[in-house]
Amino acid sequence: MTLALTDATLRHGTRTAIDRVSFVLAPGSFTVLVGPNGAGKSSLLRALAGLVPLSSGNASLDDKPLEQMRSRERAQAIGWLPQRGGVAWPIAVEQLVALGRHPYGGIDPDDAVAAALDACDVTHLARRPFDALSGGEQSRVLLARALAGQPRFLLVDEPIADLDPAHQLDALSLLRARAGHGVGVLAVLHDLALASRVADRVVLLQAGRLVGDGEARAVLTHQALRDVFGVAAHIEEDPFFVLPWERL
Amino acid sequence: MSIRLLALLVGAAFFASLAVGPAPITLAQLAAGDPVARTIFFELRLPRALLGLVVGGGLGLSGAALQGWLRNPLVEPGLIGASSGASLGAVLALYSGLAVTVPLALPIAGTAGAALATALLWSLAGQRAGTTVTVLAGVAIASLGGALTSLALNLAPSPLAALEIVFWLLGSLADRSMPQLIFALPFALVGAVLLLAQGRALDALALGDDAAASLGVDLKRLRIATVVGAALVIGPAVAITGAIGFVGLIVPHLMRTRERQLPSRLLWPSLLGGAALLTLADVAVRLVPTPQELKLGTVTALLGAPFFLFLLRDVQRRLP
Repeated sequence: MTLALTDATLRHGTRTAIDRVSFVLAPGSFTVLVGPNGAGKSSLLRALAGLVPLSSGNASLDDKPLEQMRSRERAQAIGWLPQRGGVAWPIAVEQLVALGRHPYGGIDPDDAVAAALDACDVTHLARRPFDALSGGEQSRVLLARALAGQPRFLLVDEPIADLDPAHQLDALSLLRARAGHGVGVLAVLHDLALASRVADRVVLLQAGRLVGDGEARAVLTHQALRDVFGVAAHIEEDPFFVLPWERL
Repeated sequence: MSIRLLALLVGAAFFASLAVGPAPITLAQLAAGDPVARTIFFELRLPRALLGLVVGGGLGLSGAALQGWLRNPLVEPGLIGASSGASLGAVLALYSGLAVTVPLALPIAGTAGAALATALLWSLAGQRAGTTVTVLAGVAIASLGGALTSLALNLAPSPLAALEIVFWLLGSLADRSMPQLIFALPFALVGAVLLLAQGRALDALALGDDAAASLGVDLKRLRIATVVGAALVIGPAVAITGAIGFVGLIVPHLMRTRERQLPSRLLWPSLLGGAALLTLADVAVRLVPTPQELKLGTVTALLGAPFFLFLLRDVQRRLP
């Protein structure tokens, strides 16, 4: 029961987005993917979601290559939330979240939709059109859409970028709780302080390559922050967290 | 307007279309088997009324489906090139004189034109092209079809032939025959079933191509079904009636209420709304006392364009 990339390379023309990455996402793990802009974080997520054909290597779910799976089966197992996803029509929030049930056939709001709305604190917005919401509310609604499918693996690309501090913490503890229920969660985060606090495991990506993978305190070291992000940071040990302080 | 009300409106429009015409006929005449009344009813009124439903419904449905597929409310069915292909084919049939000598030459040539345009679109847009490339290719094909139609007009053998082509291009339901309708009907039905089946996939597409794919939507199959479905619905119909503008653009707007923002909820209402609107417009052109009957395509464009501007103003007001 794992979602894995094996020696995966993804090229866009001459540019290499991810370069021979091997990575296994296990159920019950809350893994955070960090790295500078353009390091290939989103590409890695898309490869894991089976949305792009790899230039070489494999993406597989339970040792079965993703491209050989039926799209519906894959969609039931893997949820993907794009970065800053837009919505084409002013759809009511409840209907929009219900789109997450697409892999199961229904588009009418059901219990899973109600639970997702509640989990993301947007039940009170259920009848509002999506375009009438603030940026942060929209982010929470889209997260609810991803949760509504109740996938075994959840890949979320910068889910908290637009949220206020309280809702950032809410969203992270929500993802944590999902991991606690056996879902394999992989989240791209830019906030290293939050990442270092909440993650079971931190994966560090630089120029398409995996340069760190493990517990936060083992990966987010002074040297790694200097080499990969070019920043000096304050690092607290107990509780462990990292605060980028100045540019080097 | 609820589906039930729309269905009633379609029924009312259909009966109005059967009842209205320059030569007054009565139910009593029909019941008595009056040959003139029967000819007028079965060979003029009935095909005209049915054609209104098929063409209007097809334009409304394909407009809604294409707007959903391209996530753009400004899309109209002509965008994929099928209707200009159909126009070109039909104009060539008129130009060559085949339309007069061979019974179904007009719809056959028009349908062939639509098929050719769609095949060309497919070869240009290729296997893996996204919506943008597909649309740009469609626009290019539509302008090529328009240019070739102009060329045919330019080279028309006589002013009379040119006039015939121009009148046909204006778009009308008048004096079309039952065999023509029966020719177009199977295409329209298959196309409509194909389009109506895409509702849920189009809904998911509102989240973007990749998000829809992550939800299990087969984007390639959706693209084929939408483009081919729309071409089947529009191509043969346009080959019979000529281009009728604005219906495919405006009907989805009229139907897009607060509750009908999801494309799947818009497909049936747009089909019914298009059928009712076009049939009623066709009744109206018969009622307006002009020396020569107004062409339906002229009227829809004449009323449609200002109405569309009015809608745009409304849309603009709602934007932040």
